[in-house]
Amino acid sequence: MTNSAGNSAVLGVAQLPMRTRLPETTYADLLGQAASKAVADAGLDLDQIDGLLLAQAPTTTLGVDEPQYWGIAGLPGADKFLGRVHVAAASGLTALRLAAAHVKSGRLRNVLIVAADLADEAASLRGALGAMHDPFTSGQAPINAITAAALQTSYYMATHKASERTMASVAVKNRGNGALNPFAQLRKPVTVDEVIESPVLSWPIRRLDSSPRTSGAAAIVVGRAGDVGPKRAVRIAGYGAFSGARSIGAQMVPGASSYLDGSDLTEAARRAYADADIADPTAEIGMAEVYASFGIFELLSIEGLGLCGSGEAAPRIAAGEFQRTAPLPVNPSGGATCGNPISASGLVRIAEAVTQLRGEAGERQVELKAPRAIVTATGGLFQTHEVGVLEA
Amino acid sequence: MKAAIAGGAYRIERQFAAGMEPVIRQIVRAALETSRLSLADIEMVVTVASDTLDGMMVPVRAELAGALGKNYLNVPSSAGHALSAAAAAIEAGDAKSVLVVGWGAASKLAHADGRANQFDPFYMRPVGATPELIAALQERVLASSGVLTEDDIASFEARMANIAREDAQGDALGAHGFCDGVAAIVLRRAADETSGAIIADHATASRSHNPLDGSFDPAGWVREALTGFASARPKKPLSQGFIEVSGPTSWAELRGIAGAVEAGYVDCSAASANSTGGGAAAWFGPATGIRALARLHGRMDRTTPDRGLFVDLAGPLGQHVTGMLIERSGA
Amino acid sequence: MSAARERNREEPQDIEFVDAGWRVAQRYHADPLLLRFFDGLKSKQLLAGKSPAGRAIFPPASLCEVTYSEVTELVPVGPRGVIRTFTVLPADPPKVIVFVQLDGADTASAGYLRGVWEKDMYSLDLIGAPCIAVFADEPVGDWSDFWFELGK
Repeated sequence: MTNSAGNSAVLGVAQLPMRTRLPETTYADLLGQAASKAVADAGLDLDQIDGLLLAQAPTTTLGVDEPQYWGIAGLPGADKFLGRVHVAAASGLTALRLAAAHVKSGRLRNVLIVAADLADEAASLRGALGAMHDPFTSGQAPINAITAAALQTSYYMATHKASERTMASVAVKNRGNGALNPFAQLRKPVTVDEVIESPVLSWPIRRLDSSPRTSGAAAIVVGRAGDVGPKRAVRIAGYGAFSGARSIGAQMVPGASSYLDGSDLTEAARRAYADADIADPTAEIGMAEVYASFGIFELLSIEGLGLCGSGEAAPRIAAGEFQRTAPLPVNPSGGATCGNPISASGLVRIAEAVTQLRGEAGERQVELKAPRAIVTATGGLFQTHEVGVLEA
Repeated sequence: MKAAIAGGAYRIERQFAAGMEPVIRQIVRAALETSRLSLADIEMVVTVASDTLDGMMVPVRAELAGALGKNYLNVPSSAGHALSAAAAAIEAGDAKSVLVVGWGAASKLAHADGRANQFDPFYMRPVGATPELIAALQERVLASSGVLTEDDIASFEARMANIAREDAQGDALGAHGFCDGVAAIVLRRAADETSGAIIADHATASRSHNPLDGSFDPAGWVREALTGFASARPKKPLSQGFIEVSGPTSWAELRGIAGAVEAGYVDCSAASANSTGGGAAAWFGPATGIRALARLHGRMDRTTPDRGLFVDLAGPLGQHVTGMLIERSGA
Repeated sequence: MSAARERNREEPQDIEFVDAGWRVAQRYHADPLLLRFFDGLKSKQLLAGKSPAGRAIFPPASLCEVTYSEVTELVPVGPRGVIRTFTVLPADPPKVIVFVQLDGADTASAGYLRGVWEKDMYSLDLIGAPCIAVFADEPVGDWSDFWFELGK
């Protein structure tokens, strides 16, 4: 799969400010607002959209099943709906892959992807997501997104002798970045002390290390690389994906330890780099927006993407690398730490990366040593990995 | 580089006694066997299944469909959307082979149909909207406009029910055709595939379930979808083409067939359309259309017309349309 | 999000909220190997599924996802094992969830670790520590029948 994304590009992006609650908007409103902004950003008329994809993670939080029947009415491209993509939090990026395929096939020219989440419409997020798991093994021990990430975190700390303070540097970095991001839900920096003194959710994960419940929306327009004016062109240079094992316990043993060391993500990245002809990511990548609803995901992602060696991400972040002003910033938007509308998260990563590559990120603009950005999204319990390479 | 159908398999029953998962694995293996491919040959897997109908999140169970280590996509909105996605991946050069697997235990709906949850809570749920109710509205509108009569529907339903019963091991499937089902299709690059059922073209058309233009007639939506084909409509339709429409209700299917005929790609009478039995008579959720396509492909022989249309109508009104132009190689 | 925070949140004014929910009747089918596993617990046996390629899967499942092959055979594993990783749930007393790779098994599996003083629960030395599965006196055939304790 070389240069599979060859002639597709991101033409337009949009995101809405993320908040805990957006009580004055419905799901359909959110989709509509994000959609029209993205089409305008692409410099297109609404009727130039010839395909529409909806990225939507579990609908129990939303309270409306099969949301495409209601939510897409009146959206640009609604008459040419291509489907709903649902790979949990990876939905936005898998939708990007599909949209690019429709464009590269020559069949469609301007495909719009929309996603929105209203985290506050279900009384309990954990309750809503809990309905989604196997009732026979869930009696074994409460394995949910938080406890599952905690299992990875304690292993990382033990294996690489990383202290809680060092691990907290991810959240500190991201919260500091979020303070400059007008779309972020959480815009106040935090200190290492505040992170390690925040309530334990599932040791060693503390509240300030995990993403908040977020309502938000994002949309992007995917089209042909040649259709974008040179200043705003962001090509999809490459893509890699890997669907991992369902049993996390099966991947925690010597010889099969991808759950603990992130090697599935490494494989997805390898595929993306092969596709994009990237030999040395540390030299050829300018920045990364990685999906990290917990700090450990960011650490495993940085390492899995080959941006540093195993176990090095935490101490390097603590020492100032991967920060906004460093040579290879990671999550300059603040990442999911500062706002995580699950269905839209993948699209938010793309919107942020594109904005940075275009030099339009204002206060949070980073200096890019190379005009390429990595975006990642992960679905399930660190299970399905999507890695995209965008190029200005 | 077009996509071709390499193989397929399906199984439907009123209710799977031992549950869904063993049947999914059985059908995946059967589809691979008919394609003469191993799971290792498959580069991408696409699933079509509803979290709600399964009672568990689908994409985290992709290993059931053989997705481990591969590119994976879950497109639960319809069989047509999933098949289009798979075809697009091959056309784009993203994959050389794609396995599309769909399933659903719609027998649960025969006990209790909770699908009022598909309607917005502000306007439609308060007035008691359910899929059955708006489908009934659609039937009434179509009947009163004269495009369908009760006799049309009854004779079509009887023909479809017979075919469905054949597939369902002799089980009668009841009023809504609710059943448990699994269906899978393997697509490959046309150049790699010798059996020669090529997806020459595909396109979609959609409406919301409260169509903003006030029309409830699937014939119009199907014509619209087929107009979206990249290839130009032939000046004269090829004689003796096949038309297979899978939809949520028999009236949606009948109107879908009418629309497909009117589009002029193939010449096929309504009476000889839907040799696969369609979808309404054996409905197992959004993946239903895959069964019709798998059955169509599985029974292709020298007597099968060289060209035909496969149309998937999804949603309570059949308002999400995917049209596919299938051509035998050499046509 | 804690319950206390949810209760104290005020509703914004001037917005009409619509309460609605949905009920979907479900019928779950248990994996038959898992049912045999639960049965085995009643006689204090820990059974793993053995795939045709020889991979011992604990707890057992009818599908070996690595090779996509059917698993029908059961083999005993444990009771000794190694803790591969863990987390601690805040509670009174806190609960330690461990993932243990039992001797003979090719997978790790979740359970509770008991018999550890609270002050020792947050120790990274737990990772890699030997442990043993301990059964309740009268197992009934479900997950509560056994737990793990440290030791060889």
